Amino acid sequence: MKPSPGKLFLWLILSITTLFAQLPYEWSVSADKQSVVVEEAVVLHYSCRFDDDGSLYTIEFKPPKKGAEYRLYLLNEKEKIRGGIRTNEFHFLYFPMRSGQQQIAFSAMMRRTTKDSIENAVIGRDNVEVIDFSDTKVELPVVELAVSPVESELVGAFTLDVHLNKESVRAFEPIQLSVNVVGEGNFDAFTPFSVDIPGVEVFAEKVEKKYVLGERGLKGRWTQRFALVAENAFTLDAFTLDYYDLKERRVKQLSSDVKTIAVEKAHEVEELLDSEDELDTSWKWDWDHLNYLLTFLTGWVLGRWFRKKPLERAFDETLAGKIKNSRSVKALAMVLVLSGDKRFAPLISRLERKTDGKDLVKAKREALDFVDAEQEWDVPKTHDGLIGRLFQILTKVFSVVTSMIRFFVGVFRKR
Amino acid sequence: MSKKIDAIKSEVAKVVVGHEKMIDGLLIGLLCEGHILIEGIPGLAKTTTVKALSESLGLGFKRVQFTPDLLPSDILGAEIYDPQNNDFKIKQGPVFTNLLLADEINRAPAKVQSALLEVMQERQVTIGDESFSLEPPFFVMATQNPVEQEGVYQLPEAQLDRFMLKLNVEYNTKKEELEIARRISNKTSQTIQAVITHAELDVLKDTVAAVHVDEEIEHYMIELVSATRDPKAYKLDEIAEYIQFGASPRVSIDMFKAVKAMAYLRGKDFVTPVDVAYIAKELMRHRIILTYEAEAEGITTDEIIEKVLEAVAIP
Repeated sequence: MKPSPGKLFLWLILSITTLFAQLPYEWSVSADKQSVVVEEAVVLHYSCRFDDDGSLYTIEFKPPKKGAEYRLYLLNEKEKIRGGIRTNEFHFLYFPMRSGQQQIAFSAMMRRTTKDSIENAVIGRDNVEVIDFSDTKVELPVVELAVSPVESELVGAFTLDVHLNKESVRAFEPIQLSVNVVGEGNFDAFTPFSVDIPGVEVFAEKVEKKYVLGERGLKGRWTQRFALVAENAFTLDAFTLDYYDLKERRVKQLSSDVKTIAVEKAHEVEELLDSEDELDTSWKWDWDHLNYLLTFLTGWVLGRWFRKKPLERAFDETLAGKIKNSRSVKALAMVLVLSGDKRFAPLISRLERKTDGKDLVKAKREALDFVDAEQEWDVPKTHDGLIGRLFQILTKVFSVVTSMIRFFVGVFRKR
Repeated sequence: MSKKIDAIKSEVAKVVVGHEKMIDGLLIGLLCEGHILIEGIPGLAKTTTVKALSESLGLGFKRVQFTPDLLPSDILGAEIYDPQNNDFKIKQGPVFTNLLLADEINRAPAKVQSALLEVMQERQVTIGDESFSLEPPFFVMATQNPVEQEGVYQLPEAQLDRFMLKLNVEYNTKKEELEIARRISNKTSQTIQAVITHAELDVLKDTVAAVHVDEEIEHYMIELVSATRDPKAYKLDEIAEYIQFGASPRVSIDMFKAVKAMAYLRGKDFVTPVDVAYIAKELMRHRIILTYEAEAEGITTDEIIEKVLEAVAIP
């Protein structure tokens, strides 16, 4: 299709108008320094000022955190509206990593929406869930920075503190060593110390880093802890730290003292044990022993005294005893029935019909004969005769006596 | 004693050695139409005895092995859908018999025990909308293992009270055990014959009911039951602290019937205090509830009953 001259003209007019139209916001940028050394922190200040409250705009300003020439940290981000004018400010900490002339050029995304889009998204009209934006990429003003080389990886202001908990120990007794670097600068470029001493076993903890962002770099503390275990004396060399001091504008070296650790001979096994002289196992009379004995006897007597024993009185009467104590033929018959012994059945039947006192005596004798008679199948067969039973009793008595002796000997020995 | 009773005992003795007290108790239950609870550890021929008795009586006999997963419908019966006639039909459970052996009754949960309790009391079963009366004679013989064993539910007091007698089965004597071992090893056990008809059984029941009980004996029985409730009134202070609840009125009712049967089994037509003493433990041992102190000190209801029998004046 051949474009008509009229349409082409109209398109040109619109494009030129749009190009030269006044934008409703303006970006500006500044740096606190124009000339620095490598790894010296520079604070970049970006500001976006709107003509009005800028309510239809959203700013996406996320420059890359690391490039070939720099490292970047966001210090803070502020948005304020004063007198109906909206201003967005961004502060970054910029660490140049190479020397030479640097041009810091970032871009931001300006996202614009409409009131209708906001309204539709808020009330959910037509199932709209997100706000529509039209994005415009804005190239921000360039910052020129002259970066000088420096003969140190660390730049800033630092102090070094090396601390040992003791300088004289027994063999294999650990020594606590802590190395602290405190200050402000490019802590993130710091290389941990390594400790390697011949003949010494070194246990290292994880490096402890505590710092916050400041306008002159990262401010805080770097701590390394070690445990040193050695059998013989050794020397702890000095820790050195080179850095470029920003106040004096020169390279400085921090150094700790050389420490000589005296290591004594380790403890012998015998030294760790109590000497035998301290344990007196010989028995000695103590009045406390009498207390123990009296306490035991008192408890035993009281226990016997207060023990409830109605059972023996009420329920343990023997069948023979019950037969002897029966006062009538009927009572005797009742006792025999309750015994549950079926051998009494004929006698019980006879007693049911007799009531004479003479019959009672005779019946008692007959019943007791049954009780006394040792039926072959009713007596448990064991190998124990009288001597055997006597031996069993003596064994039990001996067992009780020996238990008591062991108990008291145990108490005395603990004393 | 009736020849019929002798015949029944002879038939039972073909397979059961000893256990005369258990057999007497079962016969008393049969003659008085009372339910019997038999307790003993496994292996003491409880089930064998009951089965032998039922065979010698020629009565309908069914056995239900109670288990923890048993349902009431397993013993009572249920309505079952008949797809051919498009209708529900009643399938009667094992409870529809003369003699029901509830084996290891305390292994079933309370729901099943309660269902059986209702049948025992009412002698009637309701399935769906229909009620069925059980054909007499109907009585339940239940066996149970001692509750100290694992996996059992103690029977509730209300159900225990519905059993006329509780028979404790103990080990056979050595002589009896020797005889049992010989019979089994020689395979000399015999087949049991039915020796009594329903009509003859009814006559026996009538005869037992006619056994004379003197008024003094009747008062004596009431005194015995009363002594379990108020021991101190009978100078039985020593057992008062061991009894939580005494025997219920059902004991008196059952005792009046059971002593007649006991006297009859002993070959008499009148009741004496000895007959009462013979059956008193079986009548009351499961109906007296002991206190915690009694359980802690190992006092049994049998010992309490003995003390009561020794204390109450004998007529």
